[in-house]
Amino acid sequence: MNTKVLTFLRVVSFLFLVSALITVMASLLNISLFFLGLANEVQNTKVSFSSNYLYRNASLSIEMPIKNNGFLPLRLDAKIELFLSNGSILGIAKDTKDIAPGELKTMSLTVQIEESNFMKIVENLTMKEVKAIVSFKLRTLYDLISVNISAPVHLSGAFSTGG
Amino acid sequence: MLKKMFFPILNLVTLVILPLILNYYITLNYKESLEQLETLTNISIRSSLMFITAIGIMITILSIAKSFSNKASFINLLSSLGMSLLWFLLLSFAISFGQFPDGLIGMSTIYIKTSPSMPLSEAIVVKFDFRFVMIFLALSLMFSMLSDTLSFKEGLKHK
Repeated sequence: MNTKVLTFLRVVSFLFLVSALITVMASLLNISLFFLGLANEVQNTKVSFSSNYLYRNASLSIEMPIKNNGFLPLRLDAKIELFLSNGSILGIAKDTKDIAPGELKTMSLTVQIEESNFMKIVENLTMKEVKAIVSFKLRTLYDLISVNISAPVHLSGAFSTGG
Repeated sequence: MLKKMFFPILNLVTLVILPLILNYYITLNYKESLEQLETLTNISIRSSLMFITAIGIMITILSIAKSFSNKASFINLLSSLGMSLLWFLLLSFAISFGQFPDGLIGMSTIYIKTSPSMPLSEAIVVKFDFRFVMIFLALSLMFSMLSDTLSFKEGLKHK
């Protein structure tokens, strides 16, 4: 009886170990395949900025086609935060998409900049202090594994084209 | 004798000799690239390999103690439990890309800089969340330790 219990415990321990390693390997492989494919799609990203001086508002739109080249479904949360270097936030935009393997979807992020924040941008244009943080949260394997990537982007050049 | 030495030799080769050879080889041939990688990502491959070697030496010593001790002895029990713990430490270290102490709880952060002078606030931040996997690893460790303890008790009965 005790031998059976011991064998059962060892098998369960081994199965947990193997499932942990397979989970890590499968999710990392899936995420790597996704990023390898993403490099081609990023070139088709459309960024547009429109501003209205009369109503003192503006909007920054980013449309990014994203294809899941992996073999597992992905949930992608994209977020863009627009702020001045002194820390005051100008606007935030978020988008979430569930992307099946091989599927192509477009992430659309539109940051609406209201009157009070619009004036902050105008005042800071010459200082080139408008920045953005673009972050992606990738969740795979039924949301069990997640990878969060965030990168600061300088956008001050984009605002000078508005008018 | 050969049967008893199989696992200690396997541990010695895979966890001590191979990492040491790899460390020596990459230091000799790719020193500049490694230094650049360490500056840009904060990941030190050589330190990670040294950590694996250090844990590997401990695992090898424990596996020798386990192989040459009586099943019902405390040395056997302690070496089995110690080996399970060390394997858990080693796997959690590998899963978190060597980013301790965050790695212990299944979270690791990597900062990727595009130039060495770039401040960390400007770097691309990649955060991995493997907490779910850590639960699986912890359960594996728990069952392994339980079976070791029961095996020890079983040995005491036969004694």
